[in-house]
Amino acid sequence: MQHALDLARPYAPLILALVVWPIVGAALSWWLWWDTPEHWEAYAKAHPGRALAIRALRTVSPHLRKLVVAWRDYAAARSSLPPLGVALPAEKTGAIVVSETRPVAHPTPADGVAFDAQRVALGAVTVDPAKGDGQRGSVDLPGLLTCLIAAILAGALLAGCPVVREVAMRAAPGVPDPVDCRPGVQRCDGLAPVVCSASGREWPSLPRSASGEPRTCAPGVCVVSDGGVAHCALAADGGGL
Amino acid sequence: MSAIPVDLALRIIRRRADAAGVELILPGDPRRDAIVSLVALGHSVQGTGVTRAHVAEGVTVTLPGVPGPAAVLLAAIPYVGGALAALAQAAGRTSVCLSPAALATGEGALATWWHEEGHCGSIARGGLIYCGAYLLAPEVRAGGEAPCYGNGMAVRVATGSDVDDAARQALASLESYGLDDDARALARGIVASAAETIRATGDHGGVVAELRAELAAEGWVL
Repeated sequence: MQHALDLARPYAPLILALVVWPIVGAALSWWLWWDTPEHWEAYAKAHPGRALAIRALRTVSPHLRKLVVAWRDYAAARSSLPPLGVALPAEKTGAIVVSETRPVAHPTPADGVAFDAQRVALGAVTVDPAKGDGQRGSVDLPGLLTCLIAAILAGALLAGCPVVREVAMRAAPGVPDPVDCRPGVQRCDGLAPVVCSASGREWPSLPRSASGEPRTCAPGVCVVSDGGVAHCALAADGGGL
Repeated sequence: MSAIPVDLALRIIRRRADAAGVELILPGDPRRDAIVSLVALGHSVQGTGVTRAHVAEGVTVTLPGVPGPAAVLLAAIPYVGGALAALAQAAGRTSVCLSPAALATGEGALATWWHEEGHCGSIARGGLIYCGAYLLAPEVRAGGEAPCYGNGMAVRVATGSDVDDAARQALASLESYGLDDDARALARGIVASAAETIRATGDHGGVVAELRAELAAEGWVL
């Protein structure tokens, strides 16, 4: 396992970028999806900063929901339209779906005749822009549940995978690097008692101060007892380091 | 040894929180409700059997400050998102959210505070990445929690508890962190080291000296 980790170590950024981030980004993108352009525009107007962050997230994340919508529209067009009528309505349906991502491109009820005519022309296969079909939802329940399930699965996958744990530990500042130590053995690292873990890391037994500085035995010393326990002692006690 | 009043302990905690640049959240603060919901959800998902009532009453939490964009995403979480975002946007500072149980006695409050100070230090050093590793790896939880329990042990012993009792309580508490056998062995080793340090020096890396100084500033002598 250690050999495999050593091999994988140079690729940790790639693993994070190509595996971890796409999963997390896709889940978030799925979740942050508004039902209608109106909802989205109202939200963006009320929270321009959040809207910017969400757009930025969508830009750099896989957008699986668009794929699902496209596939559903494709399947609906193929299954429910008469052969000769497929081409035009299907194109228009697709055009509306696409236009919904562009706030100025589609008609609104205020446009009156054009809006109604478009709905009539498209008939049963037309997606009603006002009701939406999963486009830009205001955090709908199925989407949320899907996101939660995906997050739980991803979390369980990540937490249960030794390689992911190891990568996380190596990336985290403050987590000791692996050294050549025997699990369970304690020793003094200068003025700090340390304990060797199963992964070969020497963890200090004294915590950090609130500012992040490591605590030490000073003004005392660090000693190892006959029982093999490393600990602080008063300077007068002496003891072998 | 007479009991340390809770209000005196709280003054010390507030002073140290201010000095460390840490946001202190006390029971009754609406932000604690959001944190309790989140922690209870985590326990529910993991099936640990820990109830929301237990979390609300007994769990003290230290959370990292969150940078702006992440706080925006936090705000989108249903039900608790607004409160979490407000919490996270507390100037991006680390927050310590004390439980009612932690404030039941002055000694307990101080022991809990110095425990949490250890976490504040880890977060100051490792930031959000450290917190991610803490969530993912039992070894990080053991290596991060056990020294903090050592701090709490030192305060409890300095305020009248027996070191072996304090060590036993620490080990019992560490059972609720989802440790595997390897991580549990690491935690036991660290607690044993802490107990020996407290026996030999009466301190734990300067924690008790800080406690005495803080109490003295309040006119209280151990």
